[in-house]
Amino acid sequence: MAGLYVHIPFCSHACPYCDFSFELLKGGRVDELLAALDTEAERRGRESPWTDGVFETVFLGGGTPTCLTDRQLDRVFRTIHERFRVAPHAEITVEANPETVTIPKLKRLRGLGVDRISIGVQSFSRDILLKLGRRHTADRAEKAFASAREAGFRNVNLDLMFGVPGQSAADWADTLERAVALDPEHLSVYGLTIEPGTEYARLAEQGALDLPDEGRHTDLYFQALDRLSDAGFRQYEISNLAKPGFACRHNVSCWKGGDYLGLGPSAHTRMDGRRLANARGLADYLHAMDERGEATDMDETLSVDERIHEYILLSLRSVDGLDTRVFRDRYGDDAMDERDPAIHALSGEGFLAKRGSRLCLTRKGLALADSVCEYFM
Amino acid sequence: MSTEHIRNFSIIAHIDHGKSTLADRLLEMTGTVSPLKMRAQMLDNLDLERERGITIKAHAIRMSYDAPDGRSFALNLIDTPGHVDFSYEVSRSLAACEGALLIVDAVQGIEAQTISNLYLALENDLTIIPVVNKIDLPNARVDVVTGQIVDLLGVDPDDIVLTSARDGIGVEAVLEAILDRIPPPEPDDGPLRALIFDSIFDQYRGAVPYVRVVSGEIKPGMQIRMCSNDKQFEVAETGVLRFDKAPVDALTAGEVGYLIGNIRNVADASVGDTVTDAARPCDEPLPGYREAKSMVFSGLYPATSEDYEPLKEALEKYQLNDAALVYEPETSVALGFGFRCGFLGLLHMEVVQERLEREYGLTILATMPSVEYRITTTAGEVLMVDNPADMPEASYIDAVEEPFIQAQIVVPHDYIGNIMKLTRDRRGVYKAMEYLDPTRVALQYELPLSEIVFDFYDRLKSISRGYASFDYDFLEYRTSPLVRLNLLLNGDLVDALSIIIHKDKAYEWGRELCQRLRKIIPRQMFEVAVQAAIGGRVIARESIRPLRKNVTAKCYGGDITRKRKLLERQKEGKRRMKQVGNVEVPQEAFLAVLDIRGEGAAVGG
Repeated sequence: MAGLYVHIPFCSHACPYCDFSFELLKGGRVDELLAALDTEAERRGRESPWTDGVFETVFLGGGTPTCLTDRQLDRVFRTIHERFRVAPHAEITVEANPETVTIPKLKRLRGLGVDRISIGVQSFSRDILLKLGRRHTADRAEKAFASAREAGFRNVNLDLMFGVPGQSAADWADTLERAVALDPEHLSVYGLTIEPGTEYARLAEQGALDLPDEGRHTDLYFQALDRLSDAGFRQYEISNLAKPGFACRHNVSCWKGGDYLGLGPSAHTRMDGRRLANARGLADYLHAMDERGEATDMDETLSVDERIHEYILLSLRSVDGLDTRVFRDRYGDDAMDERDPAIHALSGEGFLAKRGSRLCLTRKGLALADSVCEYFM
Repeated sequence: MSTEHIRNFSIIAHIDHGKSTLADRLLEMTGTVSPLKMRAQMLDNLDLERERGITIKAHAIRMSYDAPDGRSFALNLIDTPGHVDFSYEVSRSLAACEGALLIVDAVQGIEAQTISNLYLALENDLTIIPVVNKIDLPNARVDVVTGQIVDLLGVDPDDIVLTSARDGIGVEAVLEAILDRIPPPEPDDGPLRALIFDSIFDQYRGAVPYVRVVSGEIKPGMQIRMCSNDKQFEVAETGVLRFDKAPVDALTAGEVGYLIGNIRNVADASVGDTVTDAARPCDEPLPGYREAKSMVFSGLYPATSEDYEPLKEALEKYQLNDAALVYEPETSVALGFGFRCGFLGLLHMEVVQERLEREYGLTILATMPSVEYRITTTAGEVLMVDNPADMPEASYIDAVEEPFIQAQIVVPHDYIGNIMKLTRDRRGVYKAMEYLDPTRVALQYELPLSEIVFDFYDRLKSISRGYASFDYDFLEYRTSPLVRLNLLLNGDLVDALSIIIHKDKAYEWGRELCQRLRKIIPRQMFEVAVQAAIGGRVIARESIRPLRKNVTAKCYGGDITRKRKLLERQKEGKRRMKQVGNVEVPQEAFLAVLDIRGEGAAVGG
């Protein structure tokens, strides 16, 4: 099972916390990108293993894919379907921002085969949205959700963010309530991370951000897990919860070690033990495509240890945990046995729980997932 | 050569009073080495010696001098190590001479080291030629310093030579004084007795002892015997020490030179030993021999376990040139495999560590320096303990004795108060004070050696604005109320951080140590209790709060590789940490402990 990821790097404006690869839409080289994507897709479509495969999932991320015009979106999907085979019941997700979606546009996406929409709501609090530099209001977000339903989307995700400067437990509770009230199929709750090079990083450096300390941050996280669990959502990864049957198949496949092909600037590709990445910036990507007809700027083959590390990282982040039988099958008994002391210590301190042959993060472990993974490595 | 034409002498001076410069001028004037070929202060030939302005090893050089009256002389300059740690080596070098130049800086005046080395010279019945150097400096106090010397030695002021070695002023007068006042060695054709005052190691020819022949003769082909261990060697070569080694047919009574005899082990060419003729041995060896005695001990550990073998090899090689370094393997729960090393003193310890790092490219973790304690158990057994980890539990101890030293501190009288306070903080016992001149005093104290192995010298310098000078001698063992203070992390003993300490100081030390470690040990996934304890009694405690959040929110596509690499890097970084129970302790934590006293006066000054 393979997934296809297409990166649309355009946004109508810059958010001060975001470090994804993006360009401002205004005056942007959208048509050039679309042409380059087609060239890249055409080439990959002729290469192993993609030429023989059927994509079970497609994910259009960004940036803000929905800031493209209908015609431009048509072109992206024409590329996808002309260059690759997509399974009949593939999960096809598009990321959207509330201010960029209308009922006609959403209907058009439905018409292109898109069956899952992921809306960057972040918060239903006016103050918090302002702090995050978002252009939409809470009402607009609710309206975007209603539009998605109206257009026929039966699988909708809302992205929510906690740990935002000035955010109180009450603010967060209110956002969670309003999200639950909409009854989406999927919720992603992300702790705000200060990424180097962003406006937020600069402000944080100056002490101008009223960030919660790590204790409060974690409290907000658990607050969300508790409330959403009560509302019938099942957590299946650190930051992702879904109603039964609605986990994002694209991401679950990535985390379970499935292959994926990434197109566009900064997109990553996984082909068994190989990891490839395209040039990160739009200009570099376009330049490379122009010069070489492809834009790979990282191509690594993982060593056994690196594969083990990746497996640990991804499996422990998922609620199913790390299956010691799978681990032994793939990497041998020695690799498992040498981690016995670490497992023992982590279990003893209550970060890991054994469930049959699986090792899962406890609640305490969730908040320190990176430390646990590192210790386990 | 007739002994009439030999002069054997040494130079005694405090650091920076101009010993090396004067030696250089003498070498120049006697044509021993041309100024062009001469590196500045060529007698100090270790980089470290030059940087620190001290002499660690003794050296010797022979000069030829044609006096204005036509007589030709051989002048043997035997340079002494310039530090208290090496006072035994100094005493042996002095024993190889008939006279000594006592150099005193015209600005600084007499210092502690000047006095202690002078006493050593007088014990060896040496003729002293006082020299006041740097007389051309604008702030020179020639009269005052001359006065100090007259008071100290009871000499005639006219017998003091005034020089500026830098500018060559008075150097001829020094040469004349050497010829006129220092007696030539006594001829003695009895059985061979030659004093080893130094030795070097040559990788092709083995240990090369430097000797002063006191009686008899030594020449190639002879079987010689070392009096300390009766080992015998055949002499392959004898020679004198020019700029390089210069072979001669024989060394006779009164002469200074080297011998080569396929001596594989430097320990068989020990400083102070007597070389005699195996066929016609002397009745009595020369007096004063003793084995090098370690005074300060520390565990040396490689920063990473892969460096254990390289460290072992480095120590083996190092010891070839420095028999005073003793070591044996030891294991620490916290630090892994390393070596317990014994040093002559603090400077010796620093020098060894620094040279191991510098010359062998090693990063070394050194544990707290310790002295050797004499412990009498309740069963009446006497144990010598130089590692706190080896100290028995209090209930098995009847008494603990620690080495005391006799310390000499010379300081301008304005700083007496500060010195009194520092020495009181360090459990010093005031013995005497003597004015060297109206503004400078010499203070005598008895101090526990353990109190000076740690930062004493730096503190002394800082509270006297650099004016105090300090020297010491071992005195005796004395009973003290000492306890072993342990440090625990989450209940696990960090053996490398245990110390033996006076019970009145344990509480403060424990508190400081816990606070320091709380700041240095990074927060971990669980709470870490840092405790200082005497036996089962916890006397100080700090807690390192656990991390509450360390999780990446988004892990898609490229995040996966980025995160994996980041965690791998962090994991690699932690491999260099030391593991105590479940707590990861960075190496800096072990180093920081050594800084505690440097931080301020909170503990013992």
